[in-house]
Amino acid sequence: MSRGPAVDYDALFRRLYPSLFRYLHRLTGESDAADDIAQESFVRLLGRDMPEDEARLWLFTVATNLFRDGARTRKRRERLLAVRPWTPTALPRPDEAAERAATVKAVRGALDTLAERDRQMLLMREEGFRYDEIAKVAGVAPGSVGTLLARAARRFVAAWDNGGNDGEQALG
Amino acid sequence: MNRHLGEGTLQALLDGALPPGERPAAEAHLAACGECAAAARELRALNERAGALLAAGDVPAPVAQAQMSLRARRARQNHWGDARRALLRAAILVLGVAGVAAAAVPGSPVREWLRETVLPAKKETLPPAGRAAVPPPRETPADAPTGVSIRPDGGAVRVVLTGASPRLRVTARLVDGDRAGVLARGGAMAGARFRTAPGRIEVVDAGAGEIEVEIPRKARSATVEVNGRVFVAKDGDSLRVLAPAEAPGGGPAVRVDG
Repeated sequence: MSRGPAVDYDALFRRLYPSLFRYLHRLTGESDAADDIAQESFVRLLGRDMPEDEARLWLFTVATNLFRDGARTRKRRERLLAVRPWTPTALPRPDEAAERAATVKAVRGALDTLAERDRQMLLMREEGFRYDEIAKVAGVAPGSVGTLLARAARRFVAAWDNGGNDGEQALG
Repeated sequence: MNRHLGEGTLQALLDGALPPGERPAAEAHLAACGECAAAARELRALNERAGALLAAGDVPAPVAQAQMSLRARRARQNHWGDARRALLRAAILVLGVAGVAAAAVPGSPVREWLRETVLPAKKETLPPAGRAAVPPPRETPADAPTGVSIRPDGGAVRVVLTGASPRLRVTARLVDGDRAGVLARGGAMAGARFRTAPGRIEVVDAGAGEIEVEIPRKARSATVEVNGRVFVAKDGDSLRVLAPAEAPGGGPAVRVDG
């Protein structure tokens, strides 16, 4: 049974990519990684015919799984390289790019203090997903989403504050 | 509602995610309970701060660059799919030609095998005396069509023939599959070169012979251009001939099948 006209992937890409990229950039803290995962997710979407709402949730689910797979490899590599754990710093920032990089790193560090599921839920809420969609992707009961989101936001902000960024970034 | 609202309920209320049946009671409680109203204000501020912190690290999404890169990946996938099919066709052609050539060499094992296995069977089906035995015409591997196929790009297909022989015959038809294809038969293959790009097939220097163009029925738009003129365009659920089927003074003949 036909489900309507052929999918215009270019238009779909233009509508959904910015949100998916932002979500992944916040999740990974890296533009290249976010772009790679977003593109790979769209490649996997090609040939699938589904309504846009469904496609959006499908893309975020696939992208999150790709991030998780990559994260395992990354963690192993970081252990091998003995990367120092994140500590918020107030290093001198010579230019805007450096400042942005420091902010991204600090946000990423504060997010890293959350459990993976809580981080994912918080970021999906920021992208405007409904509670039932967040529950489906995170694998939790829809009735618990509010509690988990409030807790995640509280931990995230506390992690930022404990990192000593209050006065430095003037974001709060 | 006398009990204080839980943090999850407050969060759902702030996010507009509280079930419609629970919302009026929660809002009424919030209006009457100073403690819960303060908790809601604190939670809203917390959420706004979390949102601001997250947004502070955002960078612009490289949409145009990513879209170009994705198109290139799609084109590569199509290209490799086409290349695999072309290699398969070439391999079949080579094997066929090699088989015929081997059978033609006196004393070759293939010829001996044919003589032992095929010829005795022929003896049993000899035509009645007095009638000449005319072998039925058979398509040799060299006559096998060759071509390429692609997926439409954003639902659009463009088939472009340039340098086509005036004695080329082009037939366009709609098909049920999801790929557009061009098949060249006979002399059309001589010297013909195929190129593909997203949503586009080019055939350069097709000789005298036949070209079949297959357009997916569900393509949003499709055109067939021959030597700089658009001869056929997809119009709704059918193909329409836009130019005279045969150019004055002779030229490639273009028609729509079905």
